[in-house]
Amino acid sequence: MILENAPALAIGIPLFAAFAVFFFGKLGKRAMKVWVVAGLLAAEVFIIWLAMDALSGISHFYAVGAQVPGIISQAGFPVRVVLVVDAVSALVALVAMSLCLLAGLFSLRFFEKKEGGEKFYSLLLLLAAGITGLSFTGDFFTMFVFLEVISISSAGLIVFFREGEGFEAGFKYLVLLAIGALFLLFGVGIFYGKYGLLNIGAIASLVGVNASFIDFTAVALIASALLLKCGSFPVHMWKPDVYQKASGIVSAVLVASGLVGIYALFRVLFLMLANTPLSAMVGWVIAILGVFSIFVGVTMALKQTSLKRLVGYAAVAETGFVLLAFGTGLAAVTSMDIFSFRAVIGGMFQLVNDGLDLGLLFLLIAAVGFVTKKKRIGEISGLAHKSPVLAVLFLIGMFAISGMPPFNGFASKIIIYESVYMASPVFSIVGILGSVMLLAIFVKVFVAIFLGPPYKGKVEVLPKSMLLVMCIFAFFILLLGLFPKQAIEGVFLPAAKALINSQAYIGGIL
Amino acid sequence: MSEIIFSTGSVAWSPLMLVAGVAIAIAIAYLVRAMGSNNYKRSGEQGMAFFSGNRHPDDGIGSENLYWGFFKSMEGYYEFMKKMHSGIVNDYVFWFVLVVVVLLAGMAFGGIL
Repeated sequence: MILENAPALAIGIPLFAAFAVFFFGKLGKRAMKVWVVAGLLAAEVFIIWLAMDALSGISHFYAVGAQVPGIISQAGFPVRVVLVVDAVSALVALVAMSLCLLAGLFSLRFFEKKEGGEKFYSLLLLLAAGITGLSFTGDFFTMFVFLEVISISSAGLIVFFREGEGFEAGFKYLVLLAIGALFLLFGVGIFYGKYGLLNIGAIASLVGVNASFIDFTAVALIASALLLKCGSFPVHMWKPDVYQKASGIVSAVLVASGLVGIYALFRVLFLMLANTPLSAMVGWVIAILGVFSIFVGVTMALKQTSLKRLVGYAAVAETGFVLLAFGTGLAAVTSMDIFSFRAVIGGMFQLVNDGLDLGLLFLLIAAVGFVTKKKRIGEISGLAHKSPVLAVLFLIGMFAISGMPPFNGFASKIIIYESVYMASPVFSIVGILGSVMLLAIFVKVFVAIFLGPPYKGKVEVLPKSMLLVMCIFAFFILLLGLFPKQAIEGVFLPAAKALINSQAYIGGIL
Repeated sequence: MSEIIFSTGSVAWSPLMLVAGVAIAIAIAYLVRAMGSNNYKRSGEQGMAFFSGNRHPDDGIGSENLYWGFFKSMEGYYEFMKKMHSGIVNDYVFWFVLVVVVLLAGMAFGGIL
């Protein structure tokens, strides 16, 4: 009974926990922390169970509120809110929820001497519910609602530890995402006006080879809003602004929401355009935006003196790699050849790697700030003498994000370079150049923070909970890097198949 | 053996064999180091940090100076980027509207074709 309702519980538990956290806050900090971890852990367990099922080929189509899981109305189309848990949505939800859980565990020690933990954890749990909902949602209106939940909770988290400029960054984020959400709602309204439907699968079944310009207008509006959410060029500017001002812990969970945004974008595009002649053109537009994201991300990161802003630009470049891979796959979706399919697998692999690599780097920034009590990273050098563990973890994150063998980034990026090269050698060369420049950027950062004469300031002992969380990230980075074949066959191949197979999705809904 | 070889279609390699190779290289480096003189003193010049042959300043090196030549040759590009990243939310909305227009124009153009 409980497992049957797992898709709804994975969203409902963190949502309930988000509001109940204030009650546990009254009982004391310990009770509040136990409640928060229990809420995130319970949701994670349900998602792990769903992901294991989905990756082994069993997809779940869950109709919210239906006593019998039949979702077709008498008129012959789905009317209920449907949650779809297939290999790709389950994988994205698993990565995003894991990032929230690990960031939550990492943050526990931050609130030992500080007040206001219940507000922070309420927003974190709300964000966790939002990203799980956006991963699983099967209809456009719920997609809009969960996007708004993510935007509002993220904006609250961005300003949480900060004053002044932090508010400015949170305000910019909220305004931009609200405008994007309105465009998405406009696109959804067009679909509803034409078909009287909100269900993504049902609409996709009607938007076929005879799709009209009005259908494509709706797709363009929805895709634009999701491109803004995932921070693609030229709507990437909010990303470095926000990552610079938010705390490292918050940035790590914002990475999770960005990953879900990318997933939502390609879920919509692969479903709506798979059977239309426009898939090639839109695929190339997305791939070109990906190439520009890589180039602008790395060249701007090279120029930065603020470490968090620098990693923010690196995040733009990393998003570019995923857009390039999925865009190449989308361009060839009607006649999927082996290289285009491999591009989708590489994109799927890169999506997960982004979460791991950027998550580790942002938590490392937070850890460096915690042990040195310095707000500006530029004031720190020679830290490796006093905190060699942080230096080693930074090296792992640095090599992983730069695509150096044998770390996870290499395995995903080599698949992307090779498959994209068959479609456009220039795009592939820009991608390789981007990786090389990422290494140059992070070598600079490593030299500045960790090398040189020993750090003269006081260095606090790193709490074990923080170290454990970062070691978990490093473990999975190494695991995926050392065993890429097993990871692809067991995880990324089924996920890529689920993403491009629009008929299985539509068939499951109808 | 095939379990540890990762093939992308055109390229095949083994991460585990690469790790073994790196371990051998580290072992050789350690052996070379072990053959060195053991009268090292931390005090004096032997214990000082150097950067590109120069004495490392005690307060560290500004990391922004490392790629000066690259920035100089890309000056025009960075000027444009500076204007693009104005920090003003109205400008950001302009770029967003431009994306909407490009996608809509692409859809219209693709539809005609």
